[in-house]
Amino acid sequence: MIANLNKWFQTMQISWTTLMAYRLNFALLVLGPALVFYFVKVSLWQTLYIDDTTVLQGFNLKEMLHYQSWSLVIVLLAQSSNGVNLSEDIRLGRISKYMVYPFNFWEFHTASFLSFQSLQFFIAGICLALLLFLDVLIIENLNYFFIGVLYSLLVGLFWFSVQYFTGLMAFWLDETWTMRAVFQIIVNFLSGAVIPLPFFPEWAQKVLVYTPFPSLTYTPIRIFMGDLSGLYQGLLTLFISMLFMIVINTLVWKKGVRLFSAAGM
Amino acid sequence: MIKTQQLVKNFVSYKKKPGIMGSIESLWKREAVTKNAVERFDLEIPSGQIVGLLGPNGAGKTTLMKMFTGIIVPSSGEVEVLGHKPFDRDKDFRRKIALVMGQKSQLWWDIPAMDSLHLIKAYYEISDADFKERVELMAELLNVEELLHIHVRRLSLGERMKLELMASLLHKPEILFLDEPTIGLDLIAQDAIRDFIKSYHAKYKPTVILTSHYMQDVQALCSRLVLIMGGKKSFDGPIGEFERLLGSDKIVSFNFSSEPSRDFFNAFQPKWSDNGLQVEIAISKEELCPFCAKVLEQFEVSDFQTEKLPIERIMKELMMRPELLNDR
Amino acid sequence: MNTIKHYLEIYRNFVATSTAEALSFRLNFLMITIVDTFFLISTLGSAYVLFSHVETIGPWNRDQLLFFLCFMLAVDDFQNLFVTNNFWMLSSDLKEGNLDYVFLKPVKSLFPLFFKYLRIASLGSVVSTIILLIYFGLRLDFELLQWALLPLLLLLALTLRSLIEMAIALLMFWTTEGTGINFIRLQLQSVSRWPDFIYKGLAKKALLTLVPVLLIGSAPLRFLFDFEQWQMLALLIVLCFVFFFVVRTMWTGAKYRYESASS
Repeated sequence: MIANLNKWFQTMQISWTTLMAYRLNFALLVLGPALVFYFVKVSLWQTLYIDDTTVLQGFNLKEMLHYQSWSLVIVLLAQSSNGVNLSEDIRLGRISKYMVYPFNFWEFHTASFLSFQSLQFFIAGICLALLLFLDVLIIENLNYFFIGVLYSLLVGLFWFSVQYFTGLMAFWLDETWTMRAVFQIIVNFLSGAVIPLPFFPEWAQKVLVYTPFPSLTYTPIRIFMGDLSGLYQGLLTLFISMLFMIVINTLVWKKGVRLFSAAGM
Repeated sequence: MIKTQQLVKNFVSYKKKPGIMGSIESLWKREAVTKNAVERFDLEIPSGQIVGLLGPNGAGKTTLMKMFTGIIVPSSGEVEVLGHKPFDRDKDFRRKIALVMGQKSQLWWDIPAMDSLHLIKAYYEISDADFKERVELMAELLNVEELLHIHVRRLSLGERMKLELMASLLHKPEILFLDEPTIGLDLIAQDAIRDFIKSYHAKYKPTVILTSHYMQDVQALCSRLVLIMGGKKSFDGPIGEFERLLGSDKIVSFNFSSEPSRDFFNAFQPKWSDNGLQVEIAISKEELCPFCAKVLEQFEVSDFQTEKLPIERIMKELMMRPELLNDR
Repeated sequence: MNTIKHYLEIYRNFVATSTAEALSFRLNFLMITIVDTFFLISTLGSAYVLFSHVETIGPWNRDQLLFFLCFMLAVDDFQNLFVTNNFWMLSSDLKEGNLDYVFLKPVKSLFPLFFKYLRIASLGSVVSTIILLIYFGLRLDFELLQWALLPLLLLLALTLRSLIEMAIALLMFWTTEGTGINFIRLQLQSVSRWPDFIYKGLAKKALLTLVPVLLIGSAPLRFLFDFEQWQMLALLIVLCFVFFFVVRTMWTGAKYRYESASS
């Protein structure tokens, strides 16, 4: 048990070193997209609000900017991982080494994710401080804030479980970015990351309530902004979705490995 | 044909200390390390020769090849190939050369080789008739007619290498650079590649520059050897001269059924096996036959052989003790 | 003339090889079509949702903005079809030292470097975007001259976009790790997907001159909607020339930088 924990720790350390070695890439891959996304959204909403008195679906401009800023913090906290390394491992046939190592494929990649996540946590903290300083964001209630952070980390875990799945698709697909792109596009559109859910037509809102998407961005933003009403539904959705992903990933991995060893890729 | 004068290539890289602290430190402090991949290299190769470029890993062979082909630019010095400066990358120049790299592929991975050959035909503006003739000829020589229409990723390494060679020779280059063409191939495939290069050379007489770690390649193909150690040229001459580089003695080994008396062999720097049933000696050409006759007569010899690939032993020894070359 | 024929013949083979490759990965082909479709739906869907709460975005009404979005999608699609794959391949080819063979061929190396790989799977998306572009053009009651100018403006936009991205892609020769550089391209694309008037201040100035991605869509469409607004289009044309020379100069430097990975 202790020995295994040490393996996890060593893995985290080595992926930390790798991340630092490619620091420019890290900044461009992770931080850049989140900031540019934020920049475009803020610019867009500032144009949509003709003056400070305009109120759209219950949001005035200031509230909308708060909303978008919290969305940035959540993106940084929760959407850091991607399945690229995973699919590279599979595509280049490097998974043979995990079959020999006394350390599993999922353990290796989950440890890498955790180290990535710790770095992200740090970066999200800096961004949060900056946003507070610029007054485009306020912490309404410290308790809610901590609940929000914990909830976002849970979203991060779910995000990882989905990215893990897209990575595993490398057993069948030559390029797995397409899977990630589809997922990202859907989430950006339907989770309230660009347009808050109350802006959607009635019928669409009614449908979306029954999907996991709002739990990924809209619910945590509401929590940060002082509204806990969606918390329990969100938690339930996340737990069920994650359980589902774990089962799926286990099955897919088993099937993939069988394919891998059969084809001797 | 190929001429270099005081050719130099340096690479710069950065040092990094291990661990997290090292990574953080490297954020603001990086120590540059300059490596002299090729140092003041003089070489002249006339047309039609097959020259073997030998040396340990990292000696600078590939760097030289890449300077000859214009892929990388020299740090200083002169290089001239077929009257061109390679790095000007004249189209005329590029039409006259070909480079085959055993560890890289110019064929498209996911489609049949024939499609890639058509693309290469377009690059080099080869006429339909020439294309057809050359493909047929080489496919037959290499015995790959059936493979041309199979997806490259489904081919074995040996099969792929044959097609790589074909792709590189379609435009009938005047100089052919072969960078470890047989690396990783099985014995049969190695033979096939060697035979092909031999017969291709006999037919078209291109200049061939070959690097390889397999001495069979060198022995079978090259008339001249150039040895590079640490970026410097340390030998250049006919293969026969290389074989005699560390003395002209022949290496002979004997196996015995029962232990012979060791004194008998002491004059020839014997190397005994642990059980005393095998010995390896170095002996001059003149003494070889009479001495062997004596051994066969006096002892129970179960087997004996003279060395087949002397250059392999010489390479090994020079790589382990480069200072031997300085003593020359 | 002969040179043009030579390059056309090579390009014909690029198309042939890319098609052959695309068809041997049918699942990928399908996935790319799905990505393009979802992207189209989410882009237009967002605009519809926003316009159910506001009358205009900046000076433009719904049909004008939707036309703009489709125009940008068309630029994306054409670029994906003809160029984009090369940027991704450049990143991996550089890392693995596979450019050696590109350098050896007796053609201008920039040509295979940026035009060798086509993404045939984008064809479907090209068609659907053009249909949508025509649909919104009809809603805007375009006149004959406007219709005639449309392909030309699209070509100009595509030229500037490709030249800017080539210049950015060539940075890979200095950074070696190319994925990050490719992400810069993607970020600039997402900035340029909205009209220039939503941006303000210094950022806007930089995005109109230094890295003029805002010109790609806004310049042609401002002109198309109102012929009096030709100034930005003129700037776009000038910057096409500027970036052409930037790419050429960078390429000269890149050749010297290229030290193929030791094998």
